[in-house]
Amino acid sequence: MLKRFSGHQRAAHFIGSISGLMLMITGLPLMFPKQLKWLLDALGGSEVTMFLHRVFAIILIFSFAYFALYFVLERAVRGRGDSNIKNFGFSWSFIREIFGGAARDILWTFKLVKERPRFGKYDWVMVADIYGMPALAFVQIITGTIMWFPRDFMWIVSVIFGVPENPALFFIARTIHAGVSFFLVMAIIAHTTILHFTPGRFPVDMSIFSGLMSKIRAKYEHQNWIDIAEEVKVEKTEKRANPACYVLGAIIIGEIVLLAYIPFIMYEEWFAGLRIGDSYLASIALGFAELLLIYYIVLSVVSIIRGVAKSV
Amino acid sequence: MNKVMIIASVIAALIAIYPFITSIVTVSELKGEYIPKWDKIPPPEKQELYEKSMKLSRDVNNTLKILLEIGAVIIVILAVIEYIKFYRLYKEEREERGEKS
Repeated sequence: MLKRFSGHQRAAHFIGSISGLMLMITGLPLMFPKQLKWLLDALGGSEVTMFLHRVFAIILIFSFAYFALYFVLERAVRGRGDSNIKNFGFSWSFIREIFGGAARDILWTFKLVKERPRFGKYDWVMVADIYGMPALAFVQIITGTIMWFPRDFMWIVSVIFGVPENPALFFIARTIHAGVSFFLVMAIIAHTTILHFTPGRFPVDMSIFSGLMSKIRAKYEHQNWIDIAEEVKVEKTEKRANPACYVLGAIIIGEIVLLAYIPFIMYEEWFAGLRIGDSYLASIALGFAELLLIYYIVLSVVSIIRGVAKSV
Repeated sequence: MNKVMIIASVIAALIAIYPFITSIVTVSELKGEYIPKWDKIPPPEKQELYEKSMKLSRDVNNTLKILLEIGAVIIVILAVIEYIKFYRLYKEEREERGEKS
């Protein structure tokens, strides 16, 4: 087996994902109270849900600040190790590798080119996750902070621009916060489906939990990484395709399509932001999304326990 | 060195969450009263500010809706492409080992 992720990377993924998933679980009913009334009631009403949302926001901010600084310091002190991300991503050769790799990878998927591009430790989808998720989490932290301290923020804006304190800024921050969170829900469900519900990985891809990846899998997915990866002596457990993964994969891709339909039925309502009217499809999509997010939390907790036991 | 990095990161993270922890209960108790009210703004400025804010809100709403629509379509397409890609990778891996996929 090859050592794929460090203890800190696994912890960052686990804490970030649990707090992020809980923020989505508690945030969606606040955004769509009509469609997710059952969950709002189950959580104890809007006030309790809002309080829980804030508690998990604090955990997310803690993990964001901790891991951001830790990884920057680690990179500065130890260099990039076996990672293919050069100069924190600010490198033309790296950008070319990722964009060119993405194009050739898609062509290979549809059998339009014979050979799949060779990737290093992180391929283009992973790079999109590594940069995209924290960037969107940062937008959420900023807009969430504006909503948490609206008067302070409005005072700062009024002093800088010489205008009166404007209540609309709160609502605009809320609209952006809600919009980005809806996008994140779709992105997380897609991310999880691709990584955990595909053949050979179902019911869970353990590499982010155990920190290990088999050599044979790395040979197909990260050819340029194998030679520089650290090898560890751990027995590999063989995984065979479970037919359930095709059924579940199809159901969840159907769910992603349903969720993707929601922005098309949204209408703008001035300061109230984006709203959706009565739609059974939207209610089903949102309800199922909530159940999936709860399932992912259970899956993450069980997997991290198994992963830690395996890697010790 | 690792301990120094951990301690520095923990201190930075604690500083980052300090204002949120100290205000978590206060925010709930205020129940929305912490947002300044329109009627607190002097009348000569209120009309212009309200109109400008309304326009900005509608622009933000409409832009966000378009971005969400584009993002939703991209996510659906990428999810399908990636699912097919991993299916192909798995199939090739099994074929090379001489097993049926």
